[in-house]
Amino acid sequence: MKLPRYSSTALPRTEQVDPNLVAAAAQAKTQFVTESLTGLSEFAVQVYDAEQQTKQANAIAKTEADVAGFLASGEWEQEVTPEQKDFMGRTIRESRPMEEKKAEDWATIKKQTSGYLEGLTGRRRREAETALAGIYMKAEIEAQAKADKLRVRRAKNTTFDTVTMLQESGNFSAAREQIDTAAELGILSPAERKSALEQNREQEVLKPYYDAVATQNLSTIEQARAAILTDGSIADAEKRMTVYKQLLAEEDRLQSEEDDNPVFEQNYLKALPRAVDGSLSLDTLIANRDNLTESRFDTLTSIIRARSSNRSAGDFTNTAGEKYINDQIKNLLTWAYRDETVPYSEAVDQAKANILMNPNIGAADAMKALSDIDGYTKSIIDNPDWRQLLDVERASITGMTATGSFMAGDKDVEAEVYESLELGFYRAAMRQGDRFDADKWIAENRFKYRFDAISARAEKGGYNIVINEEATGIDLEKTKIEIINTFRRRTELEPSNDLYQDEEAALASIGREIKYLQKMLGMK
Amino acid sequence: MSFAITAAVVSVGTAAYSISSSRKLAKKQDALGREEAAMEKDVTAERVRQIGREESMMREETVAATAASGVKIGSQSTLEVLAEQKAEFARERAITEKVGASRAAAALGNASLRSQTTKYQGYSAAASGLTNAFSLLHMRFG
Repeated sequence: MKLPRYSSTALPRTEQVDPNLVAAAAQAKTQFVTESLTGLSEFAVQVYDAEQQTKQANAIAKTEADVAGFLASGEWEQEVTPEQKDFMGRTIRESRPMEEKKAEDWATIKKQTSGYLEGLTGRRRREAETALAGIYMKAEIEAQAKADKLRVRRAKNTTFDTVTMLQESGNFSAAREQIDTAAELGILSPAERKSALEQNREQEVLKPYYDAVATQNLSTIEQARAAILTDGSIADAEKRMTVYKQLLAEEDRLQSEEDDNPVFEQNYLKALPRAVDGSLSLDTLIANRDNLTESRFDTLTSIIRARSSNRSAGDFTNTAGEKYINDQIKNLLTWAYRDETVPYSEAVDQAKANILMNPNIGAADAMKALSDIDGYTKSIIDNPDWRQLLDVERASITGMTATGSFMAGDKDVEAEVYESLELGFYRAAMRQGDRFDADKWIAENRFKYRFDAISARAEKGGYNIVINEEATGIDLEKTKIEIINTFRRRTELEPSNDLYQDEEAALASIGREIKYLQKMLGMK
Repeated sequence: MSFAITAAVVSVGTAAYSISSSRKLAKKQDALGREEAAMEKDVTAERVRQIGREESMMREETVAATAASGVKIGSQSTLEVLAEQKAEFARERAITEKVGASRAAAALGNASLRSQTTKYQGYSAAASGLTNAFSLLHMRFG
């Protein structure tokens, strides 16, 4: 018997996993992976691009600063570079054309700025290169314009120098030609040409009067002074009066010199003993005295007084002469060391030259005076006690031992402070002579020179120096706070700012500045 | 605290919440799936038991009918009928068990898929939030 208990359709159905759910799960997983990867890659791109952008901005900003410094340099005004010397005065680099140096500087800047692009890639690099190319081009045009302008100015100066020389030699037609040529070459503008030609004409007209002054002949100058008032070729009334006054002043000067003639002095000196022994009337002596100017009479009186006081030594002429020369030396050296702009060696040379040119000092006495100056300066420079004192100061300021010597590279602030102190020391020694107390001078001036260096450094570092309440020195603690605050503020600036420092660099700077301050103030 | 830091903290918090809540929901879906599968197993076992009862009742009815007709129980034809009945019920039981197992497996599978979908949706939201937080922090400190 067959048993169809149920049809196949009545059988229970199997159930499968829902394909929609499979698709939804797969989609969710894919979405998660995609979003994670996309997010991470976007973040990485964002970080990388931000770094690139900062580098790019820094590269451009640094280049702009370098270029601005290059163009603004005061060196452009110089035609040649100065000869470089070390502390001992030895030449370490000869002078050369400034344009050559500036070309070298420019090449160095370009090389340096291309280094700023290191690490930049792709679009940021191309953008930076384009910006740099623009900066270079603009700077090169500006530098060329500057160089051209300076060349024209120099050519102009050369033209004017040549014109002046020609005018001085009386060759006014050649001077005119020189002016016209310069105008044709574009060195002088039409207005400058016109002005130079007018000035040439004026010089030509006035030359006879200047020549009259050059003769140093009183009567010639007198004649010229009278003639200029009626000279019809001088159109400018003001100029006429200016030259007239010059002629008058020269005339007065020559007249005064004539009055101060040494012959009058000789006559007076000859008359004096005769008046004393009664062979000459006092009226005659007084008449001779009246021929002398006040200053010459005072000098003469002092010489006579000196001779009288040395009469007992039996060396009447030499001793008095020596004192006179000593006074001259003292005066000259005092003059030399008061002029802060004149270097030590030049001051001594000038003093010697003045003695040699002084008509009141004879050849033998002058040579002795020169020898005395050498001896005097040598005794100061070679004074072992002073040398030791200065060496201690030098070691304290620069950290260099007594035997070390400055080289070109050591020409830093400390070296300049010490050099300035040493020069001041010798100047004071020269001025004060026997009264000079070296220890006292060092104690009184020690801080003054260091303060200049500390102030210069503070200015460079951008912080303030706080002076103590007694105004006798620096308030170290308050100055430290100034330093710390200044460098802390830099960490809060934008990284693109030139003054920005990260925390580590700022701390290092603070440490350096405080250490320097302590060193300059003689603290450990 | 700057706006960027605040926003970054909020983004990280949202991401953490998203992960946590999606994991909780996924676990709940897994548990529901397991419950449904267990129920399918119970229903299948009951059906199999019912088929067993029907089989024994039919066998008794067949034997009684055969005896009443005077046919010998041990005859070839009677034995063939009983054998066919036995095979038929055995096949129905096997089908029922297989269907029940598949329904339980489907319940577990569907629950697992729902759980995965929920979990990955939560992770996606968290990934997006974290990326946003990194970007904000980079803007502030980068």
